[in-house]
Amino acid sequence: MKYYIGVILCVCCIAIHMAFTNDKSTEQLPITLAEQQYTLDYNSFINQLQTFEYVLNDTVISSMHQQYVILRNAYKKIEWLLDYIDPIFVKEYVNGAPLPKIDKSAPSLSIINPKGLQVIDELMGEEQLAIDEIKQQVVLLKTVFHQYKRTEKLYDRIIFDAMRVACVRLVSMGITGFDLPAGNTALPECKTTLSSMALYLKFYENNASKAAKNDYKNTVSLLNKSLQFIKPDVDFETFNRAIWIRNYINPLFAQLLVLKNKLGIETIYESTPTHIRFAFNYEATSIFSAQLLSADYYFNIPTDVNKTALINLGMTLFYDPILSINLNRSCAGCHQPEKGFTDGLPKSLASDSGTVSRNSPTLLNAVYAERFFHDLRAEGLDDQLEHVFASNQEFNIDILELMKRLHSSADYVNLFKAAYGKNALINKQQITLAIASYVYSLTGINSSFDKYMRCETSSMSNDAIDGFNLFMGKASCGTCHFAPIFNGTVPPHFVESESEVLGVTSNTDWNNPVLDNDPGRMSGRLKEGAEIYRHSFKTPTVRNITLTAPYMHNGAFATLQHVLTFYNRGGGAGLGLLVPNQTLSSDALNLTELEMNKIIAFMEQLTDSSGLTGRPVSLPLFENKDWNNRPVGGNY
Amino acid sequence: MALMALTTAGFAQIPFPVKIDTSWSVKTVWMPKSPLTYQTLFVGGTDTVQTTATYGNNAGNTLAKQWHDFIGFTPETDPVKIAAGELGWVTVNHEMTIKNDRIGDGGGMTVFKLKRKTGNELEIVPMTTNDGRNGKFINIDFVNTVGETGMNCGGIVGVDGRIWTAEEWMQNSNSALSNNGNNFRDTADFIIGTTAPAGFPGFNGRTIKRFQNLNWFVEVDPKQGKAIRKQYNWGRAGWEGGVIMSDNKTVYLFDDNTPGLLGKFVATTAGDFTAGQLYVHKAGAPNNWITIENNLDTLIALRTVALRRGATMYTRLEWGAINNNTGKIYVTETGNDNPGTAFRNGAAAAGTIPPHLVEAYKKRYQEINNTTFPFSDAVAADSVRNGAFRDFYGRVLEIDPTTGIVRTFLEGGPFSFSSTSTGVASYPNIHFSNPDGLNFAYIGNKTYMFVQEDLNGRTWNRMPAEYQNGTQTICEGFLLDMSIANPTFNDLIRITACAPGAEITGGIFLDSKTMLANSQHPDGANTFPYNNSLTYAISGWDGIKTALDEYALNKNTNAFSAYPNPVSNELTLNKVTDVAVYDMKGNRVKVLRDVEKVNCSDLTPGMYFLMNTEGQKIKIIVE
Repeated sequence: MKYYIGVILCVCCIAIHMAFTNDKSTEQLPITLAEQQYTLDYNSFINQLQTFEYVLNDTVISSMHQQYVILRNAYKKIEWLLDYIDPIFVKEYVNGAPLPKIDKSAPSLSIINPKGLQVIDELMGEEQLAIDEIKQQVVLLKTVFHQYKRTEKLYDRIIFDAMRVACVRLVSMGITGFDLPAGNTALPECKTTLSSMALYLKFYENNASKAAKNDYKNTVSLLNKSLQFIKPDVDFETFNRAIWIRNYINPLFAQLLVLKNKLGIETIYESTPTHIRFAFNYEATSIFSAQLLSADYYFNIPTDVNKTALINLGMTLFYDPILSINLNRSCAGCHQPEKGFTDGLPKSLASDSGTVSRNSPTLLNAVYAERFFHDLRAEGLDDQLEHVFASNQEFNIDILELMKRLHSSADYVNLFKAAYGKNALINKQQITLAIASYVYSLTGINSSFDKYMRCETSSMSNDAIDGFNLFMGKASCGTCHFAPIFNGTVPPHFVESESEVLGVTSNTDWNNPVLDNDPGRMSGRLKEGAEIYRHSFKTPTVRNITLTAPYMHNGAFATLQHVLTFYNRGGGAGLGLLVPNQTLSSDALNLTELEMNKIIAFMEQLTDSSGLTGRPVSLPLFENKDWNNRPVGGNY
Repeated sequence: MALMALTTAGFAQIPFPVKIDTSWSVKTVWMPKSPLTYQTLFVGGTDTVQTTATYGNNAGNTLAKQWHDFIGFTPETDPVKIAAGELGWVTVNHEMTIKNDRIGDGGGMTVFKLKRKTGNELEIVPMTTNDGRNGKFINIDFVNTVGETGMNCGGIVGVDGRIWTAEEWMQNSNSALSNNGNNFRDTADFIIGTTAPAGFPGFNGRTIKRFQNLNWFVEVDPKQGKAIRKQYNWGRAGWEGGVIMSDNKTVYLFDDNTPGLLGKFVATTAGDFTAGQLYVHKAGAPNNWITIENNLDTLIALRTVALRRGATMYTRLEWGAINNNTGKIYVTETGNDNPGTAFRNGAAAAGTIPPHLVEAYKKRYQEINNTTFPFSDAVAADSVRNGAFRDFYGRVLEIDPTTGIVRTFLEGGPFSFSSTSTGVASYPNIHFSNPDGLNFAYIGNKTYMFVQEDLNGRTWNRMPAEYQNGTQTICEGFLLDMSIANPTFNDLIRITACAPGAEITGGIFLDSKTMLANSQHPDGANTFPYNNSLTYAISGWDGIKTALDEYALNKNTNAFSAYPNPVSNELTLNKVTDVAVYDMKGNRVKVLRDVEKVNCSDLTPGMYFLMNTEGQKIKIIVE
């Protein structure tokens, strides 16, 4: 039992340190106290790793599980700060997804094996514990935490921004069990995070006692209520997430900003060079609003253009078949506004004959992504156009030819002038920027679900509420379709687009499943041509899903019932197919028919294309009169 | 009590008032305009290149490819044209692979001719090739000459401005090459020497797999806009850069891989690189080099063969240059966060750990454990081999051509500058990570190394302090005064911080006035033209000398004061402190914590106030 002595010593040190901290609290600045607390919590996590390593040497399985819970709680105390200060460190070494990934810094294809807490969680979920493998992961973590130097001092701004980001992390990941591939302790861990935040918030009590007394009290009250709502015997499947978020966490998110501003604490925008943009909008007052993310982060319109005129030009081009070589097709063929900017077909029609290889995805809220196309090959909204122009199944047009055409229309010349002023050139860059700007404008985060969560409406059907709770809980939908956009852009920083291997089948004959043979992301980018990306596809948004049938990259599932059934069976691997790198668990979800219908009832509340479906009345005129009777939107 | 805490605590923070009274009369500091001017020359995807007949198309034109990387420069030699201001031909690599009916599949290269108009202003003059193409931008024809090319990354500017392009991204199969026909459509076997003049003495008629025809150095003729030959006798690897010595015989070759090779080729006859002897570096071998026979199969499998023979394993060699004053060669070793498996596999083949990594590992060990490495160098080398040394920052290496000894010239970092036990960190003002581009500038009587970062990651302190909060990667460009003995990262002077997500590459000085650089693969969300690959000129380097000298002279006081450095657009404060910047009306516009430098590049010209934690103010006028 010798190895326990070190641990006990460490615990004593912490106790002494705490006493010391409390004595001085009356005369120390909040941030000094926060610094001390964070150092304490950080070292405590290292100590718990150490203890866990000792316990793994023992033979008592139950004490391993006990210590594992303690270890996770120690991590949850620091996660909200650590992941704010250095999210890449957390992702690469501490709590990244337990999947192999490509080393982006390597000059040739190189796969990094997963490491960290999520790998440990998977291992701890096994019936026969692989002690050596667990220990190896623990030692790795311990080493890296020992080596890792804090890169930034804490500032008041960081404490408050980190708490607000933590609210989003709790909503989009914490309550879904995102980082617990095998465990079921997600909700108690949410409590640990909130308790830790409450501790740090208390350091500001004296500062707030003058100008911000009530705002401080309101913030503490919301924090306490959100804690109390998670009962000690909380059940992962029945916890009412919708009410918890709506009544406590979303208001807390807003209230923390009020308090921070009252305290005179600077904004992140004042602390960072202005050309650095953030996806997360640090001035947002609700998680369920278009404010939360800055569309300008994903697609930045230059300041020297007329934005309204640019979007108008883009809209005109979007519906104009002048873009295709035979003047037949426009963007609006495959992306029809009435169908949520899809075409209702399993695979879009090719311009010559047959179909293109994949299903047309919605453009609504498309801007909130890092990468585009089902295989993630394009990097920006405007990068996509080149592929459509060049494809002989789509517009099949040389951009130089298109430039020549547009130059020959006085109407278009004027539209470009209105948008770009004296810099109007009608070149590839300006054409694609305009169309992409129109797509950028197609955002709608005012569905009846959003309004309910923002307390702008007083109720939503019980089925939809149950559906949301299932979506975010038992059915695990929310672990990939992240709230609040419900797409694969990873919270809480929202700077990376995810793709998943689901093992999608080529039809809905579940008894004789056939794996769809599209290689997906593996054949997207040269530098991503790895086996781990075979059949991997971008996670689309489920917003407006009732408008966008049929579903999946191949359009093989005609109804949402098909989609839910597929997931309920554990995807391709769950159906018995060989899908070596499936990232979806192959376990059945055990959802009942009623539960699946409730999830659909929830998703039906996510529709908002209001004000976005208008088509231009007419198209610009050309000198070539033959072109002037082309229909708005072309033929499809 | 609160006040006392403020003054005693080393890192006291107070919120700066949102608004202040600006009627105070305080000392004024002027931030002059930078002497450097920027001019965009060549924008990928926007400018049009003249093309030869390819894939069934006649000669014509199309939009240039993107992903600009290496820049080569071939000086004009005709005295009449020189007198008219014509400088020479600029070649730009496109580090990508994509099919293109007019340019050809894979990557490519574009050439254009530069002329100096007046002062700092440059212009591109149209050029005509023997095959009848005429225009501002000419596509270098690889399709009809050497069988296409891919991922044109680095390259070499040889004696008399001869240009080689290098194909970095290592290809190991035709299917990876093709990527379903998106990158290369032609995957038929390649027969060397069927298209004149692209053959190679000794290897003509040999049939190789298509992917084996990639990852070579390729010589091009900038003036005629076409490739000359693939340099099969220099071996096949993930070549990134190289240098050719003034003897016009000796070539040093840099392999961007972990483990990466350091190669050397010595031509039999000066200027004729089709015959000679190839070597690979092995520290400790006789003369520190091992010889490689001129056998096509060996050359195709160069890395495997060399490792089997004990070659020294580097962590990603990138670009190099010769210091004309000393004849020594400097090459960037960019580093690798996860060298574990890569080194283990290389070592299994018999590759050896370079002595400088052993030293770097021992230093890291000391920083982490506060005690010197207690074991032998052999044990340290074992640890490096097993992946224990995460080479987060990389370094600049110096090669002594007379001895073949390679040593660390400038180590990246720092790794350790804070103490977790107190939780206090003083973030470094200068942090040097993952160097990539490297070149020399000779300004006045000074020699500067210009070195550019291409960050492998954002964590482990690699981002500049003021960008820490961001989610975008910022790469910096630095100057180093070569007269400094045993330089460290603290001697670097920051010149540029590139557009978010962009890599600054290709930095090459045309003369003491102008440097050409590329912004390679910027964030698509940047504004035009900074959302495209572009080649631009940074001129006015002859004017920076005074700025740098002033900067060096003026820093020595205790009073709250700020000294402007117009080159980096930064104010240097007399000490590390918290400061707020207020506009003329007294509204708070910036709050910077624990800084020694205030970056003014995002302040619109005008008057500002700088206030520190003690409430002392300075007036700043940004020109």
